[in-house]
Amino acid sequence: MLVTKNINKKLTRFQLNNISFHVEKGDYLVVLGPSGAGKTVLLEILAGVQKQQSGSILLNGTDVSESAPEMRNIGLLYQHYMLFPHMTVRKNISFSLQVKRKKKEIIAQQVSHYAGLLQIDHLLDRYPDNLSGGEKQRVALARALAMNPQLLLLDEPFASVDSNLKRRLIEVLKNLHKQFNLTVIHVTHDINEALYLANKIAIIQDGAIVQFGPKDSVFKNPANTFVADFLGYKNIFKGVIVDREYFSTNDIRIHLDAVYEDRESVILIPPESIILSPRNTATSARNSFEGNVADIIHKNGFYEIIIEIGIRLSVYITHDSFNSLMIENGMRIHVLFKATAVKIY
Amino acid sequence: MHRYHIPIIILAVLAGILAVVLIFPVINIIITSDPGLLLAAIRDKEVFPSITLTLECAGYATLLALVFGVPLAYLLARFSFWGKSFIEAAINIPIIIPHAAAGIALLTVLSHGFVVGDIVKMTNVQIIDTKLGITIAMFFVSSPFLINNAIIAFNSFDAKLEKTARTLGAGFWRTFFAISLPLSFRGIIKGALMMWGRGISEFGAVVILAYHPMITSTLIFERFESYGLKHSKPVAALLILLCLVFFSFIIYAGNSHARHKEY
Repeated sequence: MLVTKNINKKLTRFQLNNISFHVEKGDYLVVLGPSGAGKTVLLEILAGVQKQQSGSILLNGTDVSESAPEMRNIGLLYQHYMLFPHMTVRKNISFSLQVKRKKKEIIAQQVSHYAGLLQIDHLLDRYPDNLSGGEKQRVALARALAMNPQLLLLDEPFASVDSNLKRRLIEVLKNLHKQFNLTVIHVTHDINEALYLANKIAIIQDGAIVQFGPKDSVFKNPANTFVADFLGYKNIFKGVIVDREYFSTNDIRIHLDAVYEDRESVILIPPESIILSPRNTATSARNSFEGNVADIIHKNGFYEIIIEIGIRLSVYITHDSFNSLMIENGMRIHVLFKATAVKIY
Repeated sequence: MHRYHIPIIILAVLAGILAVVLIFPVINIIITSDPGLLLAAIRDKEVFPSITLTLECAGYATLLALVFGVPLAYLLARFSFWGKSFIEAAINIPIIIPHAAAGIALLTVLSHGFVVGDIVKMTNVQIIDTKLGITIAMFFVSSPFLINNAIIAFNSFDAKLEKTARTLGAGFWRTFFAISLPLSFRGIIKGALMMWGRGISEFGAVVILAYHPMITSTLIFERFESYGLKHSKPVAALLILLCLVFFSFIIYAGNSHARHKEY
């Protein structure tokens, strides 16, 4: 549906480098990246309100790289919604229809349809300035939907609402996406939004896409430590490979699953692949260490236990295991993990 | 009295001195004017036409600046291009140079031997000592007030509003007239009123280009030169009164706008 090829844009503070990705009809692509990574600029380029320096944008097979924004039919929702302050909510929602010179009855019918859908009927005659953040966002969504866009771009849509409201609005967005089979590109720095809404993920680092693909594959196989770190992965350690099959950092030697060249390296040990044991039992795991429980973090449905073994190792265990092992701060404990569980970068 | 009052008292004293210096001569000229002479000035067959002439020419100059200055302000507020800072600096030149010098500069380009002057000659349009001359002089020295205010007005709202309108299907002009202009309207009008007011009070540049027909400033100058303080004062008082009414209106309009914004 949308294909971008090698989009480049140099600005004073950052640049976009060879941005290429594609979305199909109905896709929900979340573009993740730290603030200031050029995500907004990317959306503006797709919408046509900013010009790329090189590269092309294909929309349903048509090259729109040079098209004016009003010819693209791509909706863009900015972080601060950009409701027209001198127009009522009704006028805001109907703006695209007025521009297209739709008949009065059709405009009225469309406005009430989208206002009803987003439960903002009661706000139609108000001005945007005295609406709450959540109301503003609903109005902005209604205005964008009323133009019946072939692609909807969302720029950090939840950055300026509180977490309670955010949860509700995410639901709204998820339902709208399903109901209208919308194609959405949503940029954010919040991994949870991606987990909740995306079917595809692109990760931007220093103005370039470092990983792009279906959500599951990106989460399963982070392309590099930046991605892993960004996705909230724990247990990423810097060190060196020594004696070809050990990774060494802070006087700890970790057994690797194969033979490597000695070099500087980064490893990742998934927290759920680590086993805790009160005794030093013989197992098939090649890596066994003893350390102190440094911290216990109660998570939603499980515990994260931080164990100090020279490096601070994060381990996920269930409530049951937590209770049966009688884990408490400062206690001595053994950690075990297989060499094959260690990912090397 | 607490220690923390002291800075405020110092500020108040300084501000008070300034206020007196600014306001006293103005109030003084009005209250010390002989009402009879003031009335006579209003009835004077030279004074009233000169005031309407002043208002009229300043109005034309302002309309001209609206037509040419608003597009310039929009370009400067929205786009970056080569030579932009030069233009931004150049706009303010008329404010910083002596107005008589500005008049001389205008007169020079409008005279024979310069492209502009020759074109003017060919079209047989009279500039020297005409309303057109007065208007041009007022336009030249006062338009920065309108342009600067229009730039501020265009910068006072997020350009993303315009971008959003574009994505919603509005073309450039539709966006300009439906979004940009309404959102900057008050600022532009404020600039236009300031420019008009500045045009009314113009003397230096006008007198070089068009001593006749006499605008009020020129008339005051002439009365002072020929008949002295006593005869120029009522006319001056009248013009000051006019300007005061005018600027009170602007300030009131500006304040009511600010109140409106707070809701």
